[in-house]
Amino acid sequence: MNQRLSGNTVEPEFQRRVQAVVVGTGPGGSTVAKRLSEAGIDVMMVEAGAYVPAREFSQNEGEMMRKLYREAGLRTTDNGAMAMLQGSVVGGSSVVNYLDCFRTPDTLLYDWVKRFGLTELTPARMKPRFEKIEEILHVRKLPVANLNPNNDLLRRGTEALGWKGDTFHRNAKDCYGSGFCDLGCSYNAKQSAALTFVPLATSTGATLLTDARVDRVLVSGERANGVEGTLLDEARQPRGRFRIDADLVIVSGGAVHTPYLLLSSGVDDPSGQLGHNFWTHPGTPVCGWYPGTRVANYEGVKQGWYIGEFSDVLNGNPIGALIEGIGAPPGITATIFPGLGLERQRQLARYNEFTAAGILLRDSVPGRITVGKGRPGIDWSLAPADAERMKLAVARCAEAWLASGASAVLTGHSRLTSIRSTAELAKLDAVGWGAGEVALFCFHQMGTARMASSSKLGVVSPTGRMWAYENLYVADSSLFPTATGVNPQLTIYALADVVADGILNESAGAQLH
Amino acid sequence: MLAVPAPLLAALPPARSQFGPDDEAVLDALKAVLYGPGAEAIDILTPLRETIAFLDEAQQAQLASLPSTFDLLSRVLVPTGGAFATLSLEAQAAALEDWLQSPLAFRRQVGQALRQLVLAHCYTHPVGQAAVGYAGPWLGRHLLPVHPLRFGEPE
Repeated sequence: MNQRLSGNTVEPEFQRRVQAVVVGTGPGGSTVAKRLSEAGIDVMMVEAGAYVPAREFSQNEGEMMRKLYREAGLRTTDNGAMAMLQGSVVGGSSVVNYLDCFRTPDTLLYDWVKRFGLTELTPARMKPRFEKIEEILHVRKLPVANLNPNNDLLRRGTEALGWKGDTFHRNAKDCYGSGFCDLGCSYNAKQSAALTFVPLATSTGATLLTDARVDRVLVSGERANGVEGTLLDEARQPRGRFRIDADLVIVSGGAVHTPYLLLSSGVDDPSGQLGHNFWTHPGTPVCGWYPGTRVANYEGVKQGWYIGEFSDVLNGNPIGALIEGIGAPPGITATIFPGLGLERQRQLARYNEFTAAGILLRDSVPGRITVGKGRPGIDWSLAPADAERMKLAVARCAEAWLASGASAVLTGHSRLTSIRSTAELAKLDAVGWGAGEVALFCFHQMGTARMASSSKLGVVSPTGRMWAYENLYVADSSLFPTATGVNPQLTIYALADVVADGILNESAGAQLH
Repeated sequence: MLAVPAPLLAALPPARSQFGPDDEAVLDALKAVLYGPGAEAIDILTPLRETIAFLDEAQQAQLASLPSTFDLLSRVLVPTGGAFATLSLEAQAAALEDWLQSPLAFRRQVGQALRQLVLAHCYTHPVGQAAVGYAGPWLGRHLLPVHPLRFGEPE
């Protein structure tokens, strides 16, 4: 990567003029940067996170959480109810995800076409985009033979109960199954945006500025004129300012920071929906206990098997949840297990005998991103209807663990001890789902600048353009009209590809190439 | 992190960018309660200082005030006879449970936030990891290549 600048080392009052500035280097931003750069446009990608090469992925949980995750992995919703995990590094969350690759389900695409007028998103039109992206990302289906014990037990439970399930498609090349996917792949096996779309963009002339947090999009009248922000040192503390003037501005900071940046920049939003429709795929862990069996859920391919039986978008099931095998390193696991002192120590001594799966719920009631005091406000709580569906999904997951031989199942509740039989699933009726009562995690943030055919329906046009501006675009998971119900990375790449087409064909971009 | 209700903010110490000695005493005491026997071998304060140093100003202020919030309100809401760090282990455990099981969401949130912060740092420490049978990073333990997984065509 020879066109890389760092906020650590550039002059403390850095200024540059380019044709297009892209804020963020995750799947959305890097896709647009690559496409525009290939078309001959002078592009600068600006990333708040650092460029972290594989040799610096130490596999140390604490260190990597600080280096690779937004707010060191400590960010939660405003009410503290749910942890919000997002990558903050070149490549964005694609560097720290579990590599799961789902094409946007056809049922969902048809829904987006019908309800939001997004006629470009029919399955037939999206198919070649997915094929192209999957080729770049080296997406392959995981063979059953490669399931680790954790995921294989989930598979056995699924099949014993006659449910639908499958192995994931993953963007990996020569994977060693080390099991440190969420701390960055030390072996460059994970084909993240940092290894694919970002270098493809720089290889055609794009420049990458890292360690540079964009604070404001500069707008006047119907035009965006660039961005300005703060240069960060290695400790993520301010060391200077920067300004990038540009003919095109593309915001790809993710569904929390994109609306936060646009709202705090005072952009005109005729839809009135910017920051609304915040979908989260709330998740909670469900662990099975297999005494005497070394499961070591953190070894091998952590996320290998999913239960699709209860998905609405894959299987028409009203619960609307995927159940996915997960590997949980000890730092996270320790926060899930209830109890204090010796009691909790005794439970955790069985750590290697526990399986783990996560619920991915397609939420029906969205939250909202606001401009808080110097940081995004995240207004979200688990709606009662969604809590009820979450309970059903947890119960189905517990059944799967019990069906594959678990002696007990532990949920993420602070009061529930364990479920030892299907008869004990009724215990779930008595537990709470509010803040501080259950461990909730959000890995997928979506929908806060929704794409639609009119400003009555969404924040941006079907090409990702903010309605009130001729050259201001959004390209990330903020675009999603609804939650996807499946892991979203391929959908982000594909929608960003749609946006790139729009930019190149609309007047502001067309005159640049 | 937590949104602390505005009326409470006025009663709290001024915003800081790093934990003070009293905060660290609370965190160390919580470590003993939460981790249990052997906690003295685990240093959570150094990585906690490193973590907070990575955050921006607004986040630092919130996190640094969390132990103080807990300590101050513990004395007001659950009269325990002194600062949290000076209580007996049993009294500390009871006070923490009172926060974790409170009917008030705000108290549960503060209790859980501190619990998670402390436990996460206990079990990202090599001593905590070894205690649960986790060997830590592969790097240095395995010479690569080991066995690349077989990613062939779809089955």
